[in-house]
This record gives sequence, structure tokens and C-alpha cells, in this order.
Amino acid sequence: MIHIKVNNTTHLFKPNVTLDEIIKGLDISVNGIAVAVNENIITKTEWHTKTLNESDEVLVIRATQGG
Amino acid sequence: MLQIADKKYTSRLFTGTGKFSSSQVMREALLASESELVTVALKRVDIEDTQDDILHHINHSHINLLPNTSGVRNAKEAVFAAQLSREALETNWVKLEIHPDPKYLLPDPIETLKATEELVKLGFVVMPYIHADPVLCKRLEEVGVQCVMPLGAPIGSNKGLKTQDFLEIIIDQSNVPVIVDAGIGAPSHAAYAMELGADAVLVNTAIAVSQNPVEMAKAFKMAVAAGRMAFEAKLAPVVHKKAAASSPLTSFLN
Repeated sequence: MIHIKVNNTTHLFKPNVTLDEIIKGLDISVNGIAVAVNENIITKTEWHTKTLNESDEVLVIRATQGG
Repeated sequence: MLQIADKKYTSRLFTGTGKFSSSQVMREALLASESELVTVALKRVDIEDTQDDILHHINHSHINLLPNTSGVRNAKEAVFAAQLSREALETNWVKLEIHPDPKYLLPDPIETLKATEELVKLGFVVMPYIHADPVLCKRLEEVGVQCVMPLGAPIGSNKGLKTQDFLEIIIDQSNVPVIVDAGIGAPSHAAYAMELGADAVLVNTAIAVSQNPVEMAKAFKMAVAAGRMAFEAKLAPVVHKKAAASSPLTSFLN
């Protein structure tokens, strides 16, 4: 298993896990989100081909209330 | 009709989504305001909370989303935040706000200019939140902003147009729309900004934390429309150092 940080919390995943599998595995609603791996934005079309490595850091953001 | 970039707006009242007591009140107030451009912020997804989705509440055919970069401290972070928002919300519009100082939330002009230059090159429609600085407004115009958003007073202060003299210079000089953002605390402030010739105002706190946000949203809508109408009708000139009779002064009693 490899350690991946998602929004600063460490999770364990199988080696060569894809970003798509991580999003689905954590049950994150995909509507209106953006994802970056190690501060590089990964577009939705690349999620299923982007594989992650040990200690990678994933950032998932979405809109919230603000002025 | 107000035009920013390729978009035309019937309403000159832009609104924010912060500080509302509930999503339902926010939705009703936004609809009552008839605002067509509504700001949202970005945050890290709370993986434990699957109900956490503001878009569900503001998804409406006439509402365009304007993501902001609130929370960033410099140009580099702002560019990253804007790119995230473009991916998340499928819009290349961004309200650029860089205010590293958490006490007064005043925008950093140098980082804002740097970020604007880069974001314009990346194809963004940049709406920069700035101090009411006429020189900075011209510099931003030179690098390709589609509008400027000078503050009337510090964010959330409700103090009104404390920067009036500088707003008037900005309005006089600007070749892009001027949207007064921050500090507008009452419909009269909004009307006054419009009478001065502002192209639009952005209001959040004054609506969201009023006792009745839905009624306050309506009041702002009417104030903005009235202020614009007065500006277009051209105000009567101010008379100094004497009075000017509005009734005939010919004597009629003798």
C-alpha cells in the first residue's frame, strides 16, 4: 500500500492507484470540484490515467460561500 | 446595458454568497436581488461531508458565478487558485483578491498587478479587488483587466463610500467598467455610488447579515436601479454660497 495525502489527511491506497479511483474511493461528489496533485492541476479528462506515487499530495477544492 | 468582456448585464447589482445564515436564505436573497453575477469562494473539500455543495443552492439560469481568490497571499497563489476555479466551475472569470493582512483585509496592489498580468496572458477575465487607487486602476487597465473593483471602505465594515474622492477620479479616468466593491453597508450607499457614475456595485455583508436579507436584497436592487437612473438623467448642479429659489420670487401680497 502507498500513503497519499488528500486535503492533508493521509490515506492508504494500492500501488499505481489512479486519481479517478481515489475520488471514487473517498466518495467525493465530482460536481464542481478541481483537483491538483503536488500543486499541478489535473483536468477531469486526465483523472483516469493519472497514477499516484508514494507520498503524493492531492488537493481537492470546491466552491463555498464568499463575497 | 452594462457590458464586461463579452457579457451583458441587465442588473448592476452584483452579490456575494458569504455570511448568510442558511443556504435557503441565501438562495431567496440572491433571487430577490435579481443579481446576475454572484461571487463564490474556494475551499478544500470536506471529505466527511457529502452534503457540502453550494452550487446546488445557486444554480439558476440567470446567475453567473464569479469565483474569487480569497485566502491567497501573493500572486503565485492567486494564479493557482484562479486555475483551480476555472477547472472547478468551468469559467475563466475570476475576482482577483489578494489580501494577506487578516486584520484589515486590504488588497496588496503589487501582487495584484503581478497576478493580473499573468492571468490575462492565461486568458482569464480578471476583475481585481483593489484599493481606490486611480494610478493602480490605470496600470491594471494597461495590462488588460476587463473592469476594476475599488473598495468604498474595508471589507464587511458597512461604512459606505469613505474613498469617495478617489472613486470619482477612477470613474472619471477609467476606460473599463468601475464596480464599487466592499464597504457598501446600506442601499443609500449603493445608490450614491451609482449616482457618482459607478457602473455597478458588489454587495454581500450588508444583505447577508441584515435582519431580513430577502427584503434587504430587494432594497439594494431598487437603490442601484434608482442611482443609475439618476446618473443617466444627470443630477442638477450643486449651488455653493447662496440659495437658488425653486419658486417664483415675484411679490403677490401687495
